[in-house]
Amino acid sequence: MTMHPASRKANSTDRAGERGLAMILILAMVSIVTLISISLIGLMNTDVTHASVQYAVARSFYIAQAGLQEAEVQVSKASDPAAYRTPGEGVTVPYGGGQFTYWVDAGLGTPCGDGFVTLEALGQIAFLNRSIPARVRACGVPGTPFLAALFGVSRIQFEGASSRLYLAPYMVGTPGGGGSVGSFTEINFADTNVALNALSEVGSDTVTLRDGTFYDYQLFGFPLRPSYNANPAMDPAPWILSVAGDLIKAQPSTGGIPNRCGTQYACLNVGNDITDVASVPGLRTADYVRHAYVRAIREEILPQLSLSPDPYRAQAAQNTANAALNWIAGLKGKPDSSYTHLQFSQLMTYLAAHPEQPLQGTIFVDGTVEVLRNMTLGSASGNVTLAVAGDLIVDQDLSVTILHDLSTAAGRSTPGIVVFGLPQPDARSTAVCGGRRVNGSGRLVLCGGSKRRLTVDGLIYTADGMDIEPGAFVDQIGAMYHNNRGTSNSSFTTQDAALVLRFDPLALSVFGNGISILSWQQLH
Amino acid sequence: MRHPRAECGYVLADVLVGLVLLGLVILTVYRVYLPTFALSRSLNDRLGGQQDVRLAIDRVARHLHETTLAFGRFRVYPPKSGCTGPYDGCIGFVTARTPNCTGPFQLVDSAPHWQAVIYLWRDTGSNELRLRCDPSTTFPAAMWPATLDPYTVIGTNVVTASFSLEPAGSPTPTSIAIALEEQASTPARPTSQYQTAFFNETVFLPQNR
Repeated sequence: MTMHPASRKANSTDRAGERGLAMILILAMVSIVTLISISLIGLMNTDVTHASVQYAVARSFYIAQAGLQEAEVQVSKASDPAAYRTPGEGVTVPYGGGQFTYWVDAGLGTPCGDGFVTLEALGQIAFLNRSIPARVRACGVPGTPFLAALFGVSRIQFEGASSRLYLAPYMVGTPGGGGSVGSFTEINFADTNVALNALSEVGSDTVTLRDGTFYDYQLFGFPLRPSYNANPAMDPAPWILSVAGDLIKAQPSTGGIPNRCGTQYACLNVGNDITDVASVPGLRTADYVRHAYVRAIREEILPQLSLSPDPYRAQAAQNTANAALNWIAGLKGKPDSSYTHLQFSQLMTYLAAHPEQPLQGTIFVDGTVEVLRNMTLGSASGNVTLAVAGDLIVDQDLSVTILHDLSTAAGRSTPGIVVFGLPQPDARSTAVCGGRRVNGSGRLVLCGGSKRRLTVDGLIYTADGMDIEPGAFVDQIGAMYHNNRGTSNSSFTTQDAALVLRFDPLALSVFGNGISILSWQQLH
Repeated sequence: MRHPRAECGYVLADVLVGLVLLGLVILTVYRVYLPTFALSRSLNDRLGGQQDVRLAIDRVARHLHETTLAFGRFRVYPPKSGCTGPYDGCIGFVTARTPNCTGPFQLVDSAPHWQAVIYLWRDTGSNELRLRCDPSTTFPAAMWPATLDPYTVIGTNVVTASFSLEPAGSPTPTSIAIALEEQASTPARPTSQYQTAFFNETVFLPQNR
């Protein structure tokens, strides 16, 4: 069939009039598709942005944590950690696609308190033309590589059924924060009835300290006697454990020290058993040390510490604050505070009769000191450090008092007693009280007796350990570190004696090594 | 001579045919995009769910970083300790922030001065993740408390919650693992294969002793 020419012409004219309709359709379709696509992309973009913001926030937090770690490392590496400071603007380091800035006590005020170091770090991540920050803060004790109230390189031994030990927090403000006991070799409960942090288990128990008589639970911050089940078989892990410190089975960073149990870390054992006790319930229940309350038992690699007598000898040689007292005591013409043991004996004789005239600063004694009279070295505002290059023997029924001004960081970090021993200990040992034998290796022996009392502030350091004989009472605010000179001596032995040690971390800062973090918080 | 009136019906037919064709085209495009819409909705739900869970965890992250795992200061409550019935995934831990567990971090001699206990749990009836600040004590109760009012809702549509100390069974745990499962509030089309439940597990290392 053929179309009439006129009709074909008309048809051609119609199509010419319809030109553009297809374009409109295509444009409409393209518009719809584009709108849908844009909507989808927008939706997903919003979600991806949300997720990315979260990711950036997490990254900035961990970058801030890295900054804090870096600040810790720098303080630890410093020759004097207590003096280390960053510039006011902090130290900024690019890290992990962002950057951190850390401050050490620079422009931060003293949020952590006098004597402590404040570390702060700001982590930042750039995201969507803005910076996403996270800021964290830590408080630490500079110069203190680890936190332990009582630490022995050699064995720590608790003997006698009537031994009472309280390792309490320094500040009585809140339950918790008790001091830890640690050793590189062995912690031995020779008697299963030793009471360690046993807070008024049956009745209300009191302790008489230099600042008053307290219920033992008050030392740990409880205003009232805490109610807990003291029977370890019924409740092997009462909540009261959490206010105490830990037992630290330590290993020196230079390698393990052999012990009776054959373990790499220090061994915790009971009686003559050489089986290493692994857990607190095991200690309290299986091994029947039911009056021992500790928070946890942990293994840790720690640096071995020591003090040198030389700085103390030099400080005493330059300490002329006792020149007038020397003169009165009969040591005419002696301006310094470095004594032979005979000179110091003469000085002690005078001080026993005149306890109102305290010594000041660092006192260094060459040779073994045997305390024969009650002795007060420094009052509550004192700053005495008694350094002995020999042994220090405190005879029966005597009291020794060395107090510091604990309202200042300097007073808290000043050592109380440091016993270095003779450069070459005697080949023959001498018997002292309780059958203990000493040879000038650097031991501190507290002979027994109901009137025996040692009241000390700051660190007690010995080169070769400490013995506390039956009936003695130790009232200390500070910490103890007992070294070993390669002898078979225990680092710390207490027998039927009482020890109240309120742990002050600042007392350990005298080691001038590392930093221990006490608290951590996230500022934003 | 042309007759415009005679062409009117023709143009109408053209428009109708065009509209039908347009409808067919849009329908085809819609069919083509149907899986994309489902995917979009699923993605949206998933991201929204993840976002909700992340926000819930963010709301407790600082508390968990700042707390301690010291014995007696942090408790995970199993069903036998009372975390049963309306309660699921129950933990209690201390905070040094006051007042209302949100103020400044308190220190005593540079160490944390614990001020209150935070209880965190999932309410099985409402699927809410709830938080209660109890300033009357600094030790989480040995048994899960019977009453926990008032509380704050920090997450919704949480269908399971579990908390575990790690390493598992250790007397001295070092971290707390939080696993939350959130159910999308608008489930995807039944015909789609996309998931509607979303998991988030985060491990926190409390920084204080």
